[in-house]
Amino acid sequence: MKENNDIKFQSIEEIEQEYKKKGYICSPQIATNLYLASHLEKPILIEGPAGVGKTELANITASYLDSDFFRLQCYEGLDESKAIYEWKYGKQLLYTQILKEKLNNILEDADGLEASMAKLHQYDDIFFSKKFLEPRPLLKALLSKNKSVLLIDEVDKSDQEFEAYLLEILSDYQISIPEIGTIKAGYKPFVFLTSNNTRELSEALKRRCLHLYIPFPDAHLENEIIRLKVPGISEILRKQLVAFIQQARALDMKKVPSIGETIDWARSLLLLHADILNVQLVKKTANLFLKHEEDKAMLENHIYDMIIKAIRIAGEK
Amino acid sequence: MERILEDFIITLRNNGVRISISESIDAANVLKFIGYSQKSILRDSLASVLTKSLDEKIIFYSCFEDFFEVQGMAHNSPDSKEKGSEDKETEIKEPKEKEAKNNNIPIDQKDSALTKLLLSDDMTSREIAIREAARSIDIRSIQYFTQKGRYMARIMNYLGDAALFKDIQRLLKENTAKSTEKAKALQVQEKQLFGAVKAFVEKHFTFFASSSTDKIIEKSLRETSLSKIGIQDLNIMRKIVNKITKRLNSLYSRKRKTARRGQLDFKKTLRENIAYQGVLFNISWKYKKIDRPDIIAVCDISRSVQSYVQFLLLFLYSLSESFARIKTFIFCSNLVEVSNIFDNYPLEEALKIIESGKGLDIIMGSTDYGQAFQDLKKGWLDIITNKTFVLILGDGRNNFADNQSEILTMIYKRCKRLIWLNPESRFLWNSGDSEMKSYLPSCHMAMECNTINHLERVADHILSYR
Repeated sequence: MKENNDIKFQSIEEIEQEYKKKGYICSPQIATNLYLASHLEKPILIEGPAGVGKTELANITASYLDSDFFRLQCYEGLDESKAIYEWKYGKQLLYTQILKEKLNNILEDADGLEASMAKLHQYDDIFFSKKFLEPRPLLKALLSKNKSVLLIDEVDKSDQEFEAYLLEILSDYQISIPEIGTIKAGYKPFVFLTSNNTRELSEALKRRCLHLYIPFPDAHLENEIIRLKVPGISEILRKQLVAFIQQARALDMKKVPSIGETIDWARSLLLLHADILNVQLVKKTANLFLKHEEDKAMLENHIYDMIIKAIRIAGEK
Repeated sequence: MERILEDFIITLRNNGVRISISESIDAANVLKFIGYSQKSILRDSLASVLTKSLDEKIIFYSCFEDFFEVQGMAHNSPDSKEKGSEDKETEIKEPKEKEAKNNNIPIDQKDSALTKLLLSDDMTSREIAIREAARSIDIRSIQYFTQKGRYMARIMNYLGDAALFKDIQRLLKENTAKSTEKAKALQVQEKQLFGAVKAFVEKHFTFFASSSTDKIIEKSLRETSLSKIGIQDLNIMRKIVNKITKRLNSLYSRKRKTARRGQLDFKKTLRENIAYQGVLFNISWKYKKIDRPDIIAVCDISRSVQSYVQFLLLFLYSLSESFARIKTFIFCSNLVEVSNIFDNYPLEEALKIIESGKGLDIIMGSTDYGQAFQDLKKGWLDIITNKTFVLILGDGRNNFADNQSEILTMIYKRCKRLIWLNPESRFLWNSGDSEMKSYLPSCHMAMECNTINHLERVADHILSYR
C-alpha cells in the first residue's frame, strides 16, 4: 500500500487532476499541501469557515487512495476512552470471576502464601492485555493493515487535555497505553484535522501539522465547482448564480452561504427549469442558502442591485 | 540558498510570525521536495509549514513578496542568482568589454575593481556586488536605525570606495579632457552606487531590525508610569497588554479541579477499586470544572488616578477568559456599578464611556473613600464571598473625611483576597490626606501599581493564588 501511495501523489498537477475526477476542485494551495503531507508524512490542519469542503477533502483523499477511512468527531468532554481505546470491562469482570473459580485448581498443591504467589506468577497477566482492548478511531487508524485516512473533525471543540493526547499520535504515529506499552503504526495514516476556530489550538499541536486555510472560493473556482457538481445547469445561469452568491457573501450576514448551499441552490434552480435569475425566483428559493430571517430581510433590501450586477457580470465573461 | 531561507525566517519572526526550530527544519525539507523553480508553489509550500493561522498567512504573503523582490527572486530563478554571486569576483574585476564600450569611456589597467564595475554599467553585477558586500559585513546584525549610516559606510568600504576615490583624484590630477570627463562620470556613478547601497540598507533594516526598535519601545513603555503615556502610544500599549494577557490566559485558563458530581468515570472508578474486590469505595467523576476566580474591581476615577484606571480595566477585561465573573465599580464622591457598560459595549467604547462619566450617576466632587465603602456595603456586600478577589485601585487620599476603615475590614474578612493597588510611590503613602495607614491592616496585599509591569505582576498573583 505504501508503493500505491508513492504512485499516487507524484506531482501537484496530478493531484489537481485526480481530485477533479473525484469531484473535488483543488486550489493550488490545497494540492501543494496534499503533496507535501504525503511526502513529509505530516498531518494537515485545515482551517476555514464552515462549508468550504474541509471534511470533504479527507473523504475524497480516502477515496483517491482507496483506503480505510476513520473519522473522529470531536466535542467537549471527548476523552481517550472514546477516541483512542477502552477496556472491555464486562469481559474483564467475567475473567476475574473465572479466575476466582479456577484459583483452587491452580493453587491446590502449593504450600503457603509465597508458593501460591510464585505459582500464580507463572500465568500470564491478561487482565490488561490486547485481548481486552477495544480500539477506538485513533487506535484503529494506527492498527490498520494498510495506509488509512484519519479525519479528526472539529478538533477545536475538544478539550485542551485531549489535544495533549493527540501530540504523540501526530508526531510519532504511536500511542502509549500505560498497561501494555507503546503501539506504533504499521502504516502511517494520512491525517487531517479540521478546525472552525472556536478556540485557539495549542502551539504544540499546530507545530506538528502543515497548516492549510481554505477560504470561500473566488468566482472562477466556484464556477468550476458548480460546473462539476451540477453539470446540467446552463452556463449563463451558473455565472449569474455564482456572481449573486459572491455578492451575498460580501454582505454582513449572520451565516454566510457555503459552497454546499450554492450547489443545493443550483440544483433546485435546475429542477425548477429556470433560465436566468429574477427577483421572484431568488425570493422564493433564498431559503436554500440563507438560514436566518435577518439575513433574508437584509438580502431583500439589496436584491434588485445584486441581481442586476450578477446579470451584468455574467454577461461580461 | 539555505542562508536565504534563514534570512527569510528571521524576517518573518521580526514581523511577528512565531516560527519554531522544528518548523524551520520542515521548511528546509520542503525546499528539497519543491525546489525553487516555481515561485507560487514555493510560496504556498513555505506558507503551509511556517504559518499556523490566517493572520500569520497574511503577514507571510506580504513578507514573501517584499523579501524575494529584494533578493532578486521575483523574476529570476534563485539558482541562477546563486551562480551569479559565485562569479562576483570575476565580474567585478573583469567587466564585459562590450558594456564598457557602450559608455564610451575607456577602462584603464590602473583602474580599481570598483571603478571598472561602475564604468561597465552592468547593473546586475553591481547589485550582486552590493549583496555580497552586505553579506560579508553581516547586515543581519543591524538593530537600530542609528546604525544605518555605519552599515552603508561599511558596504561602501568593502566595495572599495577608497580605491575609487584615489582613481578620481588621479584622474583629476592628470587634468586632460578625457581624464576629467572620466572623473566626472565616476563621481556621478559613485553617487548612484551610494544611493543603491542606501536603499539596500533601508530595505534590510525593515526586515531585520524594525522589531528591535519595537522591542526597545515596548521595554520602555512597560516601565513608564501609566499617567505619562501619551495618546500616540496607546495603540502600542494595547498591543503589549494583549500580548501579556494572551500569555496569562493560556497559562492559567487550563487550571481545572475535579468536581464532586457529574458523569461517573467508570474506567477510573473500576481501576481505583480493584484493590477492594470491585466494591466501589472511591467514586470518580468525569466532569471537571475550570477553576476561575471572581473579581470585584473598585476604582477611584478622580483626576489623580483616572489615567491608571483605564489600563487596569483594559487588563482585567482582556483577561476575562481566566476569570469567571468581573464586577466593576467606579467612585469619586459616590460609588456606582459599571459592569453593565462592559457587557453592552465593546471594551474600547466602554472605557471611553467610563472615562467621560456621561450617563453614569457619578458625582465628580471630592474623593470620598468612606462613602464609596458605605455604598459598596449597602448594595453589594452579599456578592463578596470566599471566592472573590477584591481589587481596589486608588491613592487612598480621602480629603480628611471619615475613612470607614471598619467596612474595609468587614470586606477583608469576607473575601478571598483584598488587594490594594496604589499608583503612588510607597514613600508617599502616609503623607498628607492619604489614609493608607488605616487601610493597610485590612489588605491581604497592597502594592505600588503604576506601570504595565506592575499590572502584569498583579494579574499573575491573582491567577496563581486561586
